[in-house]
Amino acid sequence: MTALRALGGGLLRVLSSPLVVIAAMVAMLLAALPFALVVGSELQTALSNQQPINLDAGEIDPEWWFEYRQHAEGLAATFTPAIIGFAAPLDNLSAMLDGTRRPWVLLAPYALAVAVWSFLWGAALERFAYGSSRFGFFRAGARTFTRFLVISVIAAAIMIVLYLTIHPLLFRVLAPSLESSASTERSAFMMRIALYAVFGAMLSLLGVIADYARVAMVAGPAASPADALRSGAAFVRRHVGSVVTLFLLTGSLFAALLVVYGYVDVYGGSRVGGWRGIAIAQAYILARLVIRLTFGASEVRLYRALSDQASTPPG
Amino acid sequence: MVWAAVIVAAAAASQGAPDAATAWAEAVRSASIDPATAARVERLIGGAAARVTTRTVNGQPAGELVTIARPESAPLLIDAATTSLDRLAAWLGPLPGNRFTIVDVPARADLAGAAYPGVAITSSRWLTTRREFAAERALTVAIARQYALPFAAADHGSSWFAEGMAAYFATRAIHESFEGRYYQTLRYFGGYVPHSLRAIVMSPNPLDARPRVTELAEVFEPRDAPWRLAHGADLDRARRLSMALHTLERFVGWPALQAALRSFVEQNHGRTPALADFVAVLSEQRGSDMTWFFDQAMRLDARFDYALVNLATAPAQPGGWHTTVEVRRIGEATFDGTALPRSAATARSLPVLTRFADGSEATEWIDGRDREWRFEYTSSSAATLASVDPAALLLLDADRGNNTRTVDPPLHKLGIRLAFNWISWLQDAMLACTAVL
Repeated sequence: MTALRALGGGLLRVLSSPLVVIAAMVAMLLAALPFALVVGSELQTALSNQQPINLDAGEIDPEWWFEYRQHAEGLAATFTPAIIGFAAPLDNLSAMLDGTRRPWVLLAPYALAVAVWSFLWGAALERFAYGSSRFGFFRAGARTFTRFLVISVIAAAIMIVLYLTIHPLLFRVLAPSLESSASTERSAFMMRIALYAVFGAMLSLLGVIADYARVAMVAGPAASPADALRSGAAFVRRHVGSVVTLFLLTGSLFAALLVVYGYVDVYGGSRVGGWRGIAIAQAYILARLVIRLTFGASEVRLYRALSDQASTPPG
Repeated sequence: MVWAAVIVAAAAASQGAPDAATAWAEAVRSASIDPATAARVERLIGGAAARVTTRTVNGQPAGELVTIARPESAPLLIDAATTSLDRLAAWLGPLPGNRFTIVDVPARADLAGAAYPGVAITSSRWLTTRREFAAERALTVAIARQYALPFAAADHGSSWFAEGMAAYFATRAIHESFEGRYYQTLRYFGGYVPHSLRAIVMSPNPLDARPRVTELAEVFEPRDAPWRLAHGADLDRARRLSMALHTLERFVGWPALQAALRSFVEQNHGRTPALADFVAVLSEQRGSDMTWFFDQAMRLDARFDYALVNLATAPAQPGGWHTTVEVRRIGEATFDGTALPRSAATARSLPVLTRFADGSEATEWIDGRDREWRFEYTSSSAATLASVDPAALLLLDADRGNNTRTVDPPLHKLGIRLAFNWISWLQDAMLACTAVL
C-alpha cells in the first residue's frame, strides 16, 4: 500500500513539475545531438555518393544500406536497421539482457548520459523532495553533481563486474545446455526468460541501491557517496518488500509503454511510418522520461514515508 | 530469350500418409545423408506428421512431395516448396527423381537451409511475423541448393564452385519468390523474438533497377554449418563466385544467364563439373569468350575498385563551364569487358556518366584494364554529378561508395529522417544505460 501511494504521489509530483520533464527531454536531445550531427553528416555524404540509379525512389534501399554498413566505422557503424521505430527499444533492451557487445565508440555518448543524469537527478530529486523553495534547478543539480557522478561510476564498475562474471556464466554456460535440453522452442525461451529474470534482478538491485543512495543524499543525512551507498543499501535491505513492490509497479508502467509502442508500430501500418514514426519515437522517449522521473519521485516519497515511520516512536 | 515452358502447379492430392519416422527413413535411404545427421533429424521430428502430396506439371505427374512437419506448419511449407520447385524447374529444369521430402525441424538444430539429394530441411519458428517467412525462405534455400549438390564430390577440389552456385541460386530464388513481401526481420532476446521492419523491403520489385541484396543471412548463415559444400577459405571463394554471378546477371542480363545456367545444369547430369565447364557453356551461348570475366572475378588476391577521384567544375572564359572528371582503378582486379589483349583492342568496359545542371548528360567508356582516366568538358552549365559504373553493374566492386561524386548535393530527406531515427535510438540507448547507473 505504501509503495502504491508512493507511486501515485510520485506520478502527481512529476506531472505537476513540467519544467523538470522538459529539462530532461531537452537534456537528452542536446546530449544526443552532437553525435547525431556526426552520423547525419556521414549519412548525407554516403547518400549523395550513391550510384545514380532510381534515386527518386523514396524508400530505403536495403542493398545500399548493406553496402554502407560494410564500410562504416565509428559511430556510423551503429547505423543499423535496429534504429527504426520499435526496433530501437527492442534492440537496446535485448542488448542489455543478452550482453551484446557494442562498439567502443558508444562509450562517449554513454559517459555523457551518465554525466547529464548525475546533474538531472540532483535537480529533480531536490524538487521532488523540497519543491523549488531551497535551490534553483541549476544550483540543485550542481550541488550534488560530483557525488552523484561518483555513485554512478561505482555502480558502473559493479555492473561491468556482473557482465564479466555472472552474465557469461548464465548465458554462455547455463543457457545453451538448458535451451538445447528443451523439447520445444517455447520452453527454451521460457528458460531464457528465467535467466533474464536472474540477471535482471541483479542489475535492478544495483540500480535501486544507487537510486536510494542519491535519495539518501538529497532527502536524508548521507553526505559522501560511500555514506549514501551504505545508506541506500541499508534502506533497500530494511524495506525490501516496499522497494521491490515500487520497482515492479514502475516496471509494469514501462512494460505497458513498450506494449503500446509495439502495438502502434506493428499494427499502425504505413500510417506510423516516416516522420510520424519519428514523432511517435520521441513521444515514447518522453513517456519513458516521465516514468523514470516518476520512479525517482516515488522513491523520494517511499524513503521519506518509511524513514519517518522508523523514526516515529511507537505508541 | 522467352521461356516456352508453362508450369502449372497442380492441386495437391493427399494420399496414404506414412508416419514421420517411416517417411524419414525412406528419405534417408534414397539420399546420401550422413548417419549422425539422419539419426539426429529422426530424434527431432518427434511431434511431426508425414503428408504425401502429388504434384503435376502440365497435367503430367511430376512426383511426390513428402512433408514431415507439424500439422499446423505443413500447408505453408507445401505452398512454399511447390512455388520454389516450380520456379527453379522453370529456370534450370526439373530436379531428378520423382520423390522430394521436406522436413521441418526445431530451429535449435541449426539445420534450416540444409539440403541433401531429394531432401530439404527447414525450421518453423514458434514466434514469427507476417512479414518474416523464415521457414519458407529456409526451405527455398534448401530447394535451390538441390541444383548445386551434384556439382560437389568428396574427392573434388571445387566444392567452392558448388557452394557458390548454391548461394546464387538460393539468393535469386528468394528474391523472386518473396518479391514485395519479405521485409527485414531482426531477432532479439536470444533470437526468439522477431520484429519485422516495414520500412525495409528486402526483395523489391525486379523493375527497380537498383541491385538487390546479394548476401542474405539465410543463405550464408550459419557459416560453419557441417552441411555446407565448402568450408573455411573455400567458403570465401564460394561467396566470391556468388557475387560474380550476380555481377554477371547485371552485365549480360538474366535471360542470357538463365539460358546458360539451364544448359550447364542439363549438360552435367551425372558429372562433377568445374567453373571452366560453366565458362565454356556461357561463352558458347554468348558467342564470345567469357574467360576474362571469371579469371579476374575469382582472384582472391585482388579486389575490384574503380573510383571517381575528382569532379571539378568551374566557370570558364569567355562563358560556360569547364569540368574535369578523373577516374582511377584502385584495385588490382580488372573488369576487362573483352577477351582480346589490351594491345589488340580497346574495350568499352564501364561507362562514366557526367550529369550537368541543365539536365544534359555525357557518357564516356573506359577500358577497365587501364589505371587512370581523365575527361574534360566545356558546357553551358555546371556539372552536378559524375559516376563510374553508374548502373552498378560491377557488384564485385569492393567499395561502391567511391564510384560517384556530386557537387553541392541537396540535403537528402531520407538521410534527415534516418538521422532522426538514429537520435531516437541513441536517446533510448542512453536511457537504457543510465537505468542502472
